Amino acid sequence: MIKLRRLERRYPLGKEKFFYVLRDINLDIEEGEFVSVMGPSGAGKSTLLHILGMHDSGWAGEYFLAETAVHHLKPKERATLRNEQIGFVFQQYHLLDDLTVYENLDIPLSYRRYSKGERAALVADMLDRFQIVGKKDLYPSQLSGGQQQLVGVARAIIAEPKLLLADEPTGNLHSSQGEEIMELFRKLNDEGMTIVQVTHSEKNASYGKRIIQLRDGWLVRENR
Amino acid sequence: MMNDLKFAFRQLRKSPGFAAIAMITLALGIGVNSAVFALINGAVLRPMVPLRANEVVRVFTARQNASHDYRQFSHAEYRELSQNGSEIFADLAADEFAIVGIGRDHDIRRSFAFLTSENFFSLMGVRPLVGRFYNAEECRPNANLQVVVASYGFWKRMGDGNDFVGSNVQINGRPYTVIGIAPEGFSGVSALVAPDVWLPLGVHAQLNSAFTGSGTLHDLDEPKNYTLNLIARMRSGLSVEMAKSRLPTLAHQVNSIQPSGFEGARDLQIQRPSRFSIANSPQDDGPITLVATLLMGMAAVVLFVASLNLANMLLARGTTRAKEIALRLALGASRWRIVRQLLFEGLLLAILGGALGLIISLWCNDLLLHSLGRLLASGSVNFSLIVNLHPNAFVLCITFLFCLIATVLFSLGPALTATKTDLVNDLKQQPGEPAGVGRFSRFFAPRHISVMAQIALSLMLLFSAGLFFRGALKASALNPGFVAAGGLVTELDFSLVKKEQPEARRLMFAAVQRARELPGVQSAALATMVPYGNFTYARRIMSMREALPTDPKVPDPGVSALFTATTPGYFDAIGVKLLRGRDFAQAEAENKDTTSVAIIDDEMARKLFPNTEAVGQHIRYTQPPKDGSPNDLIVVGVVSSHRHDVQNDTLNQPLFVPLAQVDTADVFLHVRLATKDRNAVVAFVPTLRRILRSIDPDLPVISIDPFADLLEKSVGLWVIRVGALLFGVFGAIALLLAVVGVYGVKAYAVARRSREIGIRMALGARRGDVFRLIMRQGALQTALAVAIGVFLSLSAGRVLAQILYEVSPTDPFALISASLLLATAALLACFFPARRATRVDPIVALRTE
Ligand SMILES: Nc1ncnc2c1ncn2[C@@H]1O[C@H](COP(=O)(O)OP(=O)(O)O)[C@@H](O)[C@H]1O
Ligand SMILES: [Mg+2]
Repeated sequence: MIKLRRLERRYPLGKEKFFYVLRDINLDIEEGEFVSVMGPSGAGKSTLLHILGMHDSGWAGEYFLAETAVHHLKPKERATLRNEQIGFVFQQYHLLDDLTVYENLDIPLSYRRYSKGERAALVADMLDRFQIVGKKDLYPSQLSGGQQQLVGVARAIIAEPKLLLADEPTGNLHSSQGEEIMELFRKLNDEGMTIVQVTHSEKNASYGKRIIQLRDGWLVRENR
Repeated sequence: MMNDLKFAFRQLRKSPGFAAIAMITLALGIGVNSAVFALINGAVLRPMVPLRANEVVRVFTARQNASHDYRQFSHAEYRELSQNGSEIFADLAADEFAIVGIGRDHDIRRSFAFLTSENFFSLMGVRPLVGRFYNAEECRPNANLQVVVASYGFWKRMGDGNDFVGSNVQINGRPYTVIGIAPEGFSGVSALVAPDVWLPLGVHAQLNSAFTGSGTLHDLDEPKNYTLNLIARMRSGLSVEMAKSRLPTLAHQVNSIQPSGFEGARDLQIQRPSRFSIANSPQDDGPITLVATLLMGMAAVVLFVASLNLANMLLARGTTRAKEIALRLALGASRWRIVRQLLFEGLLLAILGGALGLIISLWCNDLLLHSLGRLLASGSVNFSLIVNLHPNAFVLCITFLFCLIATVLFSLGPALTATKTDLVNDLKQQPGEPAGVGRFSRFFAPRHISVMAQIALSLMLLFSAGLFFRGALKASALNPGFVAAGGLVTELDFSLVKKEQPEARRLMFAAVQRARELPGVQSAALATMVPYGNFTYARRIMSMREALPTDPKVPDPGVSALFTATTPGYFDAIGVKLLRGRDFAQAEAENKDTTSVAIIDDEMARKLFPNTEAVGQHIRYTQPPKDGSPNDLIVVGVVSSHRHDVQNDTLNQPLFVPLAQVDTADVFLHVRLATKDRNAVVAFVPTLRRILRSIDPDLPVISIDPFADLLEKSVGLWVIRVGALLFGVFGAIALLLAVVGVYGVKAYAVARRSREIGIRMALGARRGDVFRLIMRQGALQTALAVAIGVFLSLSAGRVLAQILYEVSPTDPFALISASLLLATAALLACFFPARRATRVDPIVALRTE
C-alpha cells in the first residue's frame, strides 16, 4: 500500500542550514495493515503523517501509494489520488464549529464526485453505523469530546478511503472514550482498511499489528 | 479625561496604518458633509434679513382672475400702501432691479444695481459700514440727486480706499457721489449675489433715460409706470396668516386709486421673500430647498457608509485586542471605563478625520465657488458673490457634530461588543469563530450586514450619480436646433452710454452692415435675446381667430412666447432654417410704421394653427400694447424650432418681430463665419472689435464671445453639470468606501477562517473549492446587497425625479451600469482575499501549539 524510500523533510534554518525533521525514511506498509507510529514529542510523527496524507509536499525522496509514484505527481493529481485513497483523523477533531454533525460529515463528499442522492445516503449510513442519528442536527460544541472524535472518524472514512491516517486520535480523550475509538479502528481494520495512527499510548499501539518508532527524524526501530 | 486622551493617542500611534485608513475614511465622510453643509448654510440657511427675518415679506399684486396676471407696483400704489397699510406693515420699502454701466469711456463695466426707497436699509436692519444711506429727499421721484451707496464687494474691488466715500463714480455716463458703503455680506434678499451699487429711487428716470425694455415710461410719478417691487416688515406680533386676512381691505384701497383705463380689480398677496429670484410674482424656493435637502441627505449617507466601514475596522481590531481588554477587565477595570476608553479613541479618530475633512471641504468649495464666479462673470454683468463658504463658528460646530455622530455610529457598537467578551475564552485566546453559530448567522454577522448595507447605500449613491451623469450627457449632446459653431455673439448695451435713441439705432444697423461686409462673414443680424442666455422675455399671444374673452375672471387664453426682436438674416446667423414664408424685410426692421409682421417656429405654428397653414394668419397679444399701437400681427414666416434653454422644454416657442417694433438699448449682434473652426472664430474676435470701434469709438461693446462658449456657460448647463459632479463625487467616495469595506471584511474573514480552510483542504478541498467558498459567500452577499440597493435606488429616484434632467428616475441604463460597477468592484474586493485563502497551508492552519 505504502512504500517510502529515502524520504526526507527539512526546514531552512537561516542561510544554507537546514533543520531535518525526517531523514532517510524507508518504510513499507502492506494493504490491510494497522500501524502505530510512536516516539517522543517533536520526533516528526505528525510531519510523517501529513506527508502520507499529502497535506505537505515539501519533502524529498520517493513515496509510492498503491503503486502510484506520488513524487512524480502534479499537485492536482495528488489531490485526486488523496481524495480517492485517504481519510484523516485529527487529535483536535477539527470539526467545523458552525456546521452541524450532518454537515460536517458531508464536507468530504462535497469535494468528491458524489451525486446529491449518494451523499445523503452515505451520510445516513454513517450516522446509523456510528449510532449518532439523534445528534445529526447538533453543533460540535454540543457534543462531548468522545462524540466529537466519533464524528471525526466518521467524517474521515465516509468517502470510503483505503488508507486511514490518524494523528493522536485519542490524545484529547478520556481512556474509556479512547478505547471506543480504538475498538472502532480495529473493526475498520478487520474490514480491510489500512490504518496508520500516531499514538503515545502503548495500550493504543497494541491495537495495531506493528509499531514504528521515530526519534529526531530517524526511523529507529520496527516491532512487528 | 486627559489621561484617556493621552492613552487614546498612544493606541493610535501604535497602529499608524489603521489610524491613517480610519482617518481618511472619516475625512471623506465628514468632509463631504461639512462641504455640503457650508454650501447650504451659505446659500439656503443663512438669514438674508439681518433683523427679525420672520417679519419680512414681499408684497405682490395680481389681477383678480384666474390668469394671475402679476405686475409690479407704481410709485403711487407704493405711497398708498405705505400710508394706509400701517395696520399690517410696520414699514414698507420699494426696490427695483437694474443693470447699469459703471465707469467711463472704454472702461465701462456692467453691474447689478438696486434702486430702493430710503427706508429699505432700515427695514432690513442694516447700518452703513461707512458714511450714510440715502434720505427721503434723494428718493423722491425725479429728484435726480446723483448719490450712490456702494456695496462692500464693490468698494473692495475699487481698492477699498479710505477716501472712497465722497469720491465720484460714473454711472450710465453721469457722475454719482459715493455717500456710503453697505456692510459686508449685505445683498438685500438675494442669497447668491449682491449688487455693486445701491441707488435712490429718485434717479429712476435719469438712469433709464433713453430706453427701457418695453415702453416710454420713465417718470416714476407716472401712474402706469409699474416698476417697483415691494418689501415689507409686518407689525411685530403679526403672523403671515393674520396679515393675509387683512390684505383685501388694503387691496380695495389700492384699486380705488387706479388711473383711467383701469385693467380690472387686483388683489394683494404677501409671501416670504425668495432667496434666489427677483420677480413680480411669488416664487417658490422649494426646488432649491429640495436640492439642498437631497444633497445633505446624500452626504449623510456617505458619512453613514464611512461610519459602517470604520465600525467594521474597529470590530476587527476589537477581536485582536480582545486579549488586552479581557486582561484589563480581569484586573478590575469597569466595563464602562473600557467602553469610555474605546469611545475616546473613536472620538479622537473622528476629530482628526474631521479636521482633515474640513480642509478637503474648504478646498472643494473654493473650487465650486470659483467655477460659479467664472460662470456668472461671463454673463458680462458685475456683482459680488456673497456666498461665504469659509468656516464660521456655525459650520465648525456642525462639523464637530458630524464627528460626534460618526463616533457614536462607528465606535459604540464595537466598544460594547469588545467588552462583552468571555473572560476565560479570551485569556486563552482561541482563535476562530465562536462555536455553534451556524452558517446562517455567520452570513448575517454584524460585519457582513454592515458591508451589505455599505454596498446597498453605495449603489443608491452611484445610481443617483448615474442619473445626473445621464442628464449631463443628454444636456451636452442636446441638439439645440441652431448651430453654435462658427457663430460670434457681441453684446451692445446703449443704455450705458449717453446716446439718443435714433443715434443708437443708426449705430446698431451700421454695426450689422459693417460686420456683414467683412470677408469671412456669412451673415450678421441683431436680436434682443440670445438663445441659452440668462435673461428671457416672454409675451402671451393667441390666434386672431379666437375671441379675446371679455370676462376678466377667465384665464388668459394665450400661449407664452419667447419674445425676440430681430433684423433680417437672424435665422441664417444662428443657423435656423426658414421653413415657409419669408424673413423680415430690412424696411420692417428699420421702420416702426410698417404693417406688423411676425415669424414663429413650427412648434408654435402647430399650437396656434393646428389645422391650417400658419403663414398669412393673424395673431395678437393677449395684453395689448400699452402705447395703443394696433394689436394685430401677420405671420409671414415659419422657422424650424430650436431651444432657448437646456432645462426647460416649455420655453421653446418663440415669437419674432422686427427690431423696429421694440425700443431696446441692449442688443446682440450675431455674426456667422464661413468657418466652424473654434480657433478661427476666436481669432476673429479682435478683427470684429476693431471694426466695431471704427464705427464709433464709444460703441458700448459689452462682450464678444464665440456662440459655442456662451452655450457652455449657460447657467442651466452648469447646474446640471455641477449636479452630476456633486453626486458623482458622492458616488465615487461611496464606491471607494464600499470596496475598502468589502476588502477589509473579506480579508479579515479569510484570516479568521484559516483553520476552517485548512480543515477543508485536509478533507479534500482543492484550491478551486476554497476559492469558490469565499467567493460564493461574497457573491451571495453582494447579490443580496445589490438587490436591496436597487430597491433603495428606485426609492431615491422617486425623490430625485423632480430635479432630474431628461432622465427617467428608473433609468435602466443608470441602474444596470451602477449595479454592474458596484458588483464588479465588490467581487474584485473579494477576489484578492479569496485568492489568499487558496494559499492557506493546511499544516500551518491545523497546527495548534
Ligand atoms: N514549519 C516548520 N518549520 C520549522 N520546523 C518545524 C515546522 N513544522 C514542524 N517543525 C519541527 O519539526 C519537528 C517535528 O514536528 P512534529 O512532526 O509535529 O512532531 P511530533 O512528533 O510531535 O508530531 C518539531 O521539532 C517541529 O518544531
Ligand atoms: Mg504531533
